[in-house]
Amino acid sequence: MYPRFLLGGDSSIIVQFENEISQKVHKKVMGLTNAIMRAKIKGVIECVPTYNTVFITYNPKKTTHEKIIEKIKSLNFDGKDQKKKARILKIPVCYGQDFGGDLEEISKITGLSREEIIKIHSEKEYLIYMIGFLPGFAYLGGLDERLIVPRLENPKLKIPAGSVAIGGSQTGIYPVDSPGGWRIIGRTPIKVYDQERKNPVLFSAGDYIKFEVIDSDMFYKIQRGELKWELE
Amino acid sequence: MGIRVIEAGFFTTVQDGGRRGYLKYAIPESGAADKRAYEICNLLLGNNQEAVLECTFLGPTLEFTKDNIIAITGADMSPSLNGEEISMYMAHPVKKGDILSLKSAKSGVRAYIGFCGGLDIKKVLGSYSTNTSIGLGGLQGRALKPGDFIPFKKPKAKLKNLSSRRLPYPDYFEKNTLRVILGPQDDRFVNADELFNHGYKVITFNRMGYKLEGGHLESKGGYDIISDGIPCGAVQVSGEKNLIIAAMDRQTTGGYAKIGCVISADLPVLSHKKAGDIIRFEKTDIKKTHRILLEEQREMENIKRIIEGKKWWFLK
Repeated sequence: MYPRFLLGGDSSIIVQFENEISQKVHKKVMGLTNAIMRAKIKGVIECVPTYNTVFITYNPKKTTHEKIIEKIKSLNFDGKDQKKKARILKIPVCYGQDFGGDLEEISKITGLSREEIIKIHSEKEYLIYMIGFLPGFAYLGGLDERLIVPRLENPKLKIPAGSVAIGGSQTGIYPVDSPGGWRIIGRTPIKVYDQERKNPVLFSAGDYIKFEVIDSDMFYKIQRGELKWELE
Repeated sequence: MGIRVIEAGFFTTVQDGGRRGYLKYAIPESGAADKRAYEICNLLLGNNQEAVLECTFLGPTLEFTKDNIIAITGADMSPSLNGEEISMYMAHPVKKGDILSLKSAKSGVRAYIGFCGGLDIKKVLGSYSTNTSIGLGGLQGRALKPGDFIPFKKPKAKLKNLSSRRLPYPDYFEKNTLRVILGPQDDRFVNADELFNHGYKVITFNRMGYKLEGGHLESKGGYDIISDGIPCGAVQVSGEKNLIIAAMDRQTTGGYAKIGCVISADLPVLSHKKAGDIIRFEKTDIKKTHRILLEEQREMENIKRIIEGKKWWFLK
């Protein structure tokens, strides 16, 4: 029976839904996450949505897992009460050239031309299922099957922050410089993660990302702050 | 005016109680690995959650450029002031020009140097803590290096009850048993209790986690799960003989099955384990853990009273 209430030691609770990655389960996860945040349950510190769970941290000196679970069971979290429409955030990307060194290779593997790859990749709206791995790293769903390519056998030691890449059936943006095994197709000039911002990450789980094609001229203008980019 | 770093030690970082509220952006709490030693360090100095220096294996050599009061807790790194040995777990006044020097840890791994009134560093995302793996917080997101200067925030030349600001040296640095609550994914193993039947050797460690080897844990259909949240202290099984215990700077999500989680009262014990040490796990449950937490809370209140010079009959 779902949801299951699992313990993560003495300071966290995991509410687990059906064991699958799907939009249906994602809606339940977001519905419960929002309901818990609204309920402001005593002792609850944080609430993190993942593919099929809600990860809740609490202060065991202020409450017990029993009290929190009891409270959660009393919440209405079918997700239907969500009035807010999902946000669609436009992320500017300069594909290929100096920024997407693996585009040619992907073209060879898939048999698609550079233009076709860019068109297919930038057409879709990708759902952010969860944020994990690195600060601001979004696990996106919805990559077109035609763009599925194997990960690199030898991961790169440094993938620059802002790189947009494809690895297996996933696509994403590297928020910070990091080693990685995905193939890079472009780069965004905007900082999806900035520790100096009050909201250090531009998006949250449940938002959608749409990549917008820009040229290198525009890339540098946005990067230098000469051009303001509207996300929504 | 504050401290000048003459020698940085092996790996010395600025830490506090940790960063709260950013797990949803995949930013871990960080903070002192040994929260107990961290808290006592600040208590000795009458501080509230101020930034301290976390030393690893080998401590730093520091010069003070202003009078203040300091305390050192955690693993015994034989601290000396101007060449003369001083006690751990005790408040010491220091003068401008004094040199504090720490050696390598006699046992355990981490020591904490606290300063009355704290350090004047910018908080990043609500915390002083450093996470060097993502370059966040502390001193430009990195470990200290020679030549660094960190100013004091509100230094004091005098402190009430200075003579009572000392505690006996604690004995948990050599402990090697960690109490574990099974779950969240203990049902992924043929016999999760096998975890408690073997010793596990620490292979490598850092502030993100501990890699362990030993035992034999047979999974039901693989060790991978759909990625979900990782609590601090989570015992992740990456292979039948391989464990990874998540620590303060861990990745916030991951796809290894978590057979159990080390209780928070034993994370200070974990923080003093190093490569080659053998760890054993002991089964506990959430009910017992709540009692342990209450006892711990009471003990900390007692410590506070002792430090503040209050008589024992005020205790109960």
